[in-house]
Amino acid sequence: MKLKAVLLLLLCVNILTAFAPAGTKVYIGNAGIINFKSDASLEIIKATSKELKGVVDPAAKTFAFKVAMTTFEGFNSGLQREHFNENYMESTKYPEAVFTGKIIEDIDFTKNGTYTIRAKGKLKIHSVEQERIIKSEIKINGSQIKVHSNFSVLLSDHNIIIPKVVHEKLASEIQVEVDIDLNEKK
Amino acid sequence: MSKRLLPLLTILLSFLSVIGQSVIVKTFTVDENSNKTIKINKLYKSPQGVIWVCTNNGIYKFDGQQFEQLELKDKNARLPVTALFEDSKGTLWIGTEVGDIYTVSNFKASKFNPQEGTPKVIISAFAETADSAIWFSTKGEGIYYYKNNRLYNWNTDDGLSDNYVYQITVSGKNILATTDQGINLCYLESGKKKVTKYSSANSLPDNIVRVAAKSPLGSHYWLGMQDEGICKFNPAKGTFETCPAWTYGQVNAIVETEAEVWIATETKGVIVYNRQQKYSNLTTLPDARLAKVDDMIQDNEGNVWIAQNGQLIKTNGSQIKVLSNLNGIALSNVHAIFCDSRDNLWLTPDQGLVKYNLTTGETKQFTLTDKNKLIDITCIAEGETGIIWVGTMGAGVFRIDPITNAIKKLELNSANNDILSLAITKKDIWIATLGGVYKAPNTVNNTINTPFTFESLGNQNEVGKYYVYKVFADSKERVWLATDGKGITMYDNGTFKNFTQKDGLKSEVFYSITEGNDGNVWFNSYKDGLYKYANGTFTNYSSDVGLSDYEIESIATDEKGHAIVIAKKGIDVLYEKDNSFFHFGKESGVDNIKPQLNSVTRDKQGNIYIGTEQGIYIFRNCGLRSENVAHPIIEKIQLFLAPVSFTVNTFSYNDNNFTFTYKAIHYTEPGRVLFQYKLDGLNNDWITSGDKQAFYPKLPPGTYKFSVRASANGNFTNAKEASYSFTINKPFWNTWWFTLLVIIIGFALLYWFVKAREARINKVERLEKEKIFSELENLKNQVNPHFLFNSFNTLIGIIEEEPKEATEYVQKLSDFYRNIVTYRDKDLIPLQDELNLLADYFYLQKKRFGESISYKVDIPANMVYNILIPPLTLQMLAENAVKHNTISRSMPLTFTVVKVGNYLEVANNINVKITKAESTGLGLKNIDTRFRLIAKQSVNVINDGKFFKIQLPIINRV
Repeated sequence: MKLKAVLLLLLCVNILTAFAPAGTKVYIGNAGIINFKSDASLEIIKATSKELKGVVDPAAKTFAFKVAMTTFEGFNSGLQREHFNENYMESTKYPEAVFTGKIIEDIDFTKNGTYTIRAKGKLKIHSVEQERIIKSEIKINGSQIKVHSNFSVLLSDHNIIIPKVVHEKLASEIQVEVDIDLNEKK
Repeated sequence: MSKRLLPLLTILLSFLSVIGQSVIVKTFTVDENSNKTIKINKLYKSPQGVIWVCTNNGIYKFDGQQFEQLELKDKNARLPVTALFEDSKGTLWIGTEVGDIYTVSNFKASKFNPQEGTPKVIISAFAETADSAIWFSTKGEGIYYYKNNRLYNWNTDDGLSDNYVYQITVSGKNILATTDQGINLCYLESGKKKVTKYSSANSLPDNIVRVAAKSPLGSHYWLGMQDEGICKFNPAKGTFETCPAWTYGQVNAIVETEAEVWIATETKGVIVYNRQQKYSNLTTLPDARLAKVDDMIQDNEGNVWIAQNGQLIKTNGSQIKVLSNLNGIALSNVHAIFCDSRDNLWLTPDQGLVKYNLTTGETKQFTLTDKNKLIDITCIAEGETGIIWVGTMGAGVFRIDPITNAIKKLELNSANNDILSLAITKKDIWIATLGGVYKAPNTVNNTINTPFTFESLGNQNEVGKYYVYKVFADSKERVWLATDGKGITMYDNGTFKNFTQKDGLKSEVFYSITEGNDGNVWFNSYKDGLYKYANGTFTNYSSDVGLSDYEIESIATDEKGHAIVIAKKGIDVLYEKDNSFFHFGKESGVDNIKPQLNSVTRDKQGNIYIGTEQGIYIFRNCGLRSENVAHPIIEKIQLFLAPVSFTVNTFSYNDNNFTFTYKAIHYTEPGRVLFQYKLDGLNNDWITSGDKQAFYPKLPPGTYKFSVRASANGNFTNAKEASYSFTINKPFWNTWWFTLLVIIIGFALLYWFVKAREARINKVERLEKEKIFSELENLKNQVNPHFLFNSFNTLIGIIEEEPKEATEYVQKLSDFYRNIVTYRDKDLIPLQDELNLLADYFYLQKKRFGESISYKVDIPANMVYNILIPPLTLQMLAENAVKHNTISRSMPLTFTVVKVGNYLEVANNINVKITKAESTGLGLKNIDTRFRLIAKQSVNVINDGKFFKIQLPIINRV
């Protein structure tokens, strides 16, 4: 399990090296928390993954985040989780959600403080890529940065088809909340 | 030769560039009361044509007279605004210097706050594409577009040339963006961002493009650059058309009028680029204003507004220009003006004669008479050979050779030398003088030396001896005469025809004649306005369609056929389609310019030259003006003085106090605008008012339509209208369903009442009936002869033996009968009374039957007064007992009255008579009915063979 995480992380770094020259410092996190909530008229569904991985390259202003769909837990029943993975997300075919891109603002990562930034990138869920700007709050504290953001995902944006019978139980727009700590790695 | 020519040419060209300076009408200070120095960042024209001013102190709406700051009811109202836009839904988008964006919709302002966040740099422009996406450009973060509630960014990572974007505009399916690295055409193709880039590599003169102004006349854009001035860009072809070398620095704004391109610069004021591809400074701007111009905009009427130093400067744009000096020649008192076929403008400043070539800018002065005895030139005409004919007041007619400039006086023989007008057709030369009209046959290839023999037309009845102010030859070789007292005379193919009142002309005095490109001939009458002759009939246009002034000095037509009226108070343009005049007057700077009689001419480009006391006014009726009438806008609807959204149309019955605030956009002459408003549903008549508000208190429920229309010339026939429909609901108690409900309930109540009353009456009636029956029965019984017979027999039996008892007996008998009579009217009597009656009865019977009859009452003494009973009940039962039973010593009758529970039980033992007494059964039935009516309970009858028991329900005294 641990090995797998590291491998994934390395994959993240590999994505990044495409943007950033080798040897520059990056921030890496692998235990970020990602919550989602579907607030439909008949049912509220919540699920959490504590395995959000991310990497930020301050010099190039680029970033990459990803989470494996199967790591989401919670839900209102085991069956629901099964449906989530098998019917809606098709987790075996499309195992992860990825957000990669570039920060619009220029921030000095050497200065401690809290900043509101906008991350512009491609959000890939269920293998469908959408361009998104995600507003985030980042807190820089020495070698660690904390990222917090709220955004929503439209199921229709990612070709996630919901049968009519569960329309009242599943929101068409899913609220997502992300919290991740990233630590400086040279 | 060439060395001498070059400086001359330069001088000539520079003079050319000065021709015609636009009239600066007025300067408006944005916020005179503000203690802050107002800096105008941008001017914006809304889809309705309203000018907004974006400043470092919020935004202001400008109505042509004053600025109104947009009240956002919080501190945001005074933000530094850098961009403004009104989208197709009427929502106002406000972009600020710090990247924040606000929207205002239905008077409600809110901060634009998408989940994606907002920019942190200057918002430079907005645009809206056909898919309702709102685009905005930033100075540093590229372009954003907002579609389906999601915000997307488009920057250099997506192919944009530069993230510093000065401006965006919609160009077909593209967004045209101007940046520091050239211009981009951006478009989305199935969700993919596509950019077509143009830079110096594609022959764009300068990469820093600050302005892209869409031409109102074509599909091209004018680009304004950092250093290289302006160029024309055709987005469809991707081609550039460069302009002559530029030395005026940074371009801040570009406006294309119908005749020129106006360029606002950072350091050199406004530069005018004309059709001859020459630049000139708009020198009528005061010197101090030759510096930085912040922005410039053209309104829908053709006026150009210049933003500078926190002020808005109104100019007439390319519409009205004044020329007071021509190559050093002062141009005053221009009594005659004429543009010939060689593009020479002939004019007569201060009794001189000047030829000015409109192409070369060359001027030549002529002297017709002795310089010390100058004489007025009244008219100039051109013969078909190009010879210029000049008529004077007192010195006859001169001819000038257009090539050699040689002058020759025409020999008029006996004709009068005071010339009023000249006209030359292929056939004839016409001269109108103070001594009448003369005509001479024209000759082919005539020169300035060709003699003509003039004959007077004084004997012609149609011409007469009246003055003729104007002789005019039209395009159909007809000659028209404007006479003083004889109306209009037409000479067509050798015959004269006179038009007067019978032909629909109200006036008999006419001054001017002109012809439009469409062949319509126009006349200017004395105090009766304008006449048009078309298809054999005359049409009059006067103050009822908005003519501002009857003191008309001259008339002309523009190249589109509009009649132009030049009068003391200004210039009126007739829009026949709208049957209305558009006026340029005081607020356009052309009132009281003192135009001279018939001193008007038009050049090939459509410029109309008007000779006045103060110079030449050049009028150009720019076709940009799409509407010639004031455009009314309902700005605010208030309910009890609180703003109401335009989308709300239904109100409750007590929401009945309405205020409508409206205005009309008429930037040319805002002071002349009058309004008419009405409220259909209340009053269908228009109310004329100068106020910008209509107030309706206490409107009764109903359906209404508030309409307002505006006119700047008092003619409302084709005025544009704005309206708002609404409904005030009836209160619920006034609605049909409520009325219906009330009627139904009313009927139900009435029905119930009637029924109840009927029942009550029935009951009373029945009671009454029963009572009467019981009385009758009693009386019948009591006066029953047997009873009397028996009683009297008993009496006889005792009268002798016991006279004392007999007296008592009679006494009792009498009491008995009296009581029966007393009680018979009553419904109920106390039990005691009934018992007394019973006692009397049994006393009487005892005398007859002795010990064989007995009765016993066992009712607690305290109850006998509290229990009520229908009168004669017990007596009647006793009577029945006596009647139906054998009474003897061996078979005595015992009659008892006892209280059993809630009943009075009346019982007697049964000794059935062998000969049954006649029984109707009515007595008992009558008792039962009475109890049922009064006590709502039945009487129980128990016959067990031994005893006959009647149980009477106890009725207690209430």
